[in-house]
Amino acid sequence: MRSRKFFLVSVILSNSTYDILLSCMEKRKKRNYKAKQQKKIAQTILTVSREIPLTETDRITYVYARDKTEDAIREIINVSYDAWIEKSWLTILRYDSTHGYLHQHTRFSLTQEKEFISKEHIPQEGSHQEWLTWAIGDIKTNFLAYRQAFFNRSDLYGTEE
Amino acid sequence: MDKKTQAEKNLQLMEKLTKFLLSHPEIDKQLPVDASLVILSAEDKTLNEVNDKLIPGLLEEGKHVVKAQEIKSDTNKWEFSPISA
Repeated sequence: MRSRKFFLVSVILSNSTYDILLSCMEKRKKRNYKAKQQKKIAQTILTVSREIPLTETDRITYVYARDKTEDAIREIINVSYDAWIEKSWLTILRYDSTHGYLHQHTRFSLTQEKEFISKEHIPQEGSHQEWLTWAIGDIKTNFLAYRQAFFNRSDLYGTEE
Repeated sequence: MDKKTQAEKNLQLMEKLTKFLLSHPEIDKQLPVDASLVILSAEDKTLNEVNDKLIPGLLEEGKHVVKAQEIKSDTNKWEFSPISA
């Protein structure tokens, strides 16, 4: 009965309409599969955020996505140095691996939100865990230089303790 | 202790703490996913005093504060205790 109906529908529809119908069904199938896969990935990925205060006015924050099943870091969402300036936390410098490689964003100044984006002198090979460790090590080593440069660009030099 | 010294000491400890947490995911998993980690040194009491003073401000901001206490030993070890408001 069902196949007879299908035959009749096939006859009624012209060849091109039938092709379009098949193509739509195929696309829907692919979409459903993609949605299912994304849901599956979301269920296994855990976003972990760690904030470490350095002083009352300085803090380091790192956020990463960890695969719960394999205990492996899948993405560096953020490794940042934030400073408390004029009654709010401001991210002076941050790293992320959003585009598949580690790169640095540096805020220009207090009044100018634009950022310098750079991947120079930043390792492009290695695991996400190695990138995270590297970014934290870089902020540790260059913390004062990054801070001072930002304060200079913002004409805030001399206002810090 | 001035801010510069506090920051530098905390940065040194932060690197050690992060390496520890990354190499011990089973311990990291026990912490809140959005923890604020207040570092306490195994040896530097002055640093611990100034770091302790950071806690009330974090709690006021509604953060999930966890004390990360460095343990004096040959290996890099830490103990964690959550702080409630």
